[in-house]
Amino acid sequence: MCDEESSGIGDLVPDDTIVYRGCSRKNFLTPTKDAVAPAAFEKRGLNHKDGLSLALTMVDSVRPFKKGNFGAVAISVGDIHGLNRGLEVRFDIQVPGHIIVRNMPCMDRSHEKQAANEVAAELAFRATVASAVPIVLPTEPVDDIAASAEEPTPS
Amino acid sequence: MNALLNSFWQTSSTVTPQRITNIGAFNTLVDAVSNLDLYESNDEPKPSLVLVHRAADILSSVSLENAEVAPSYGEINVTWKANGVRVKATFGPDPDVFYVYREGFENGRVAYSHMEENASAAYLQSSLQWLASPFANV
Repeated sequence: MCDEESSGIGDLVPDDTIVYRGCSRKNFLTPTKDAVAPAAFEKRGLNHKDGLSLALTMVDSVRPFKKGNFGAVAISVGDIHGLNRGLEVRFDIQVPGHIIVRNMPCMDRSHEKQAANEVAAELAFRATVASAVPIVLPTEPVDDIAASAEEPTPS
Repeated sequence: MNALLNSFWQTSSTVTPQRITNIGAFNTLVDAVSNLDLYESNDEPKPSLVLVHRAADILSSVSLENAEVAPSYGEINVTWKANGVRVKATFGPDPDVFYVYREGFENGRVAYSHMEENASAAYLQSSLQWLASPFANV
């Protein structure tokens, strides 16, 4: 698997937790926007060096996107672990609210592509559409903006 | 859209002009790679014009009517779905790279999958026949 970086990886997230993945692309949802497409869970080692990014809230799931968002999808941690494919959902101890799925196969590694497609399809099947419309980020107080500017950006 | 289209053609300006053998597929591919909503960021690599031509050539033998086309980090993904079966053709980023992924899905699990590296137009055609009737031996 292509998790190249492991700094800041925390404990396992409890199975009864719902986590969110922000839609950075329109095709993370199906064209009718009533289901999740496998594209939402395609991991690339080049871009997701520590694992696939999720978040504890919908707002946090889209916060890193500079270009806007197309909503968010939700999935239970128990469903991710329940695939029995060795995936681990862990807290990011460096970025509060950021969750990382470890051990995912990568789309950009030829020997992992088949498994990456399979995992993406099975995760998409278990995920639900949390919001099919763009999530508006709440306006931050000036003090919070200054503080968040120093936080590392999740992949 | 115009800025993206311009950058798409400019980055491909060194290629030799090619004959467009399938204008329908070519237009569908250009529409997808020009759609800003399908990119994660403005910095994401875009498929090259050479790749669009190559993909359009290969896709000339199949229908894109029910296909979803999307760029992804310089690749072009074309996906067909029906009856719990998925066929995904991936082109690029290198113009010579073309693979086809077949998947059968049952009860929330991938029951069957196959990745054909170095795929051909004929293999894609047979995969779409399998999509139409997955219990046939194609």
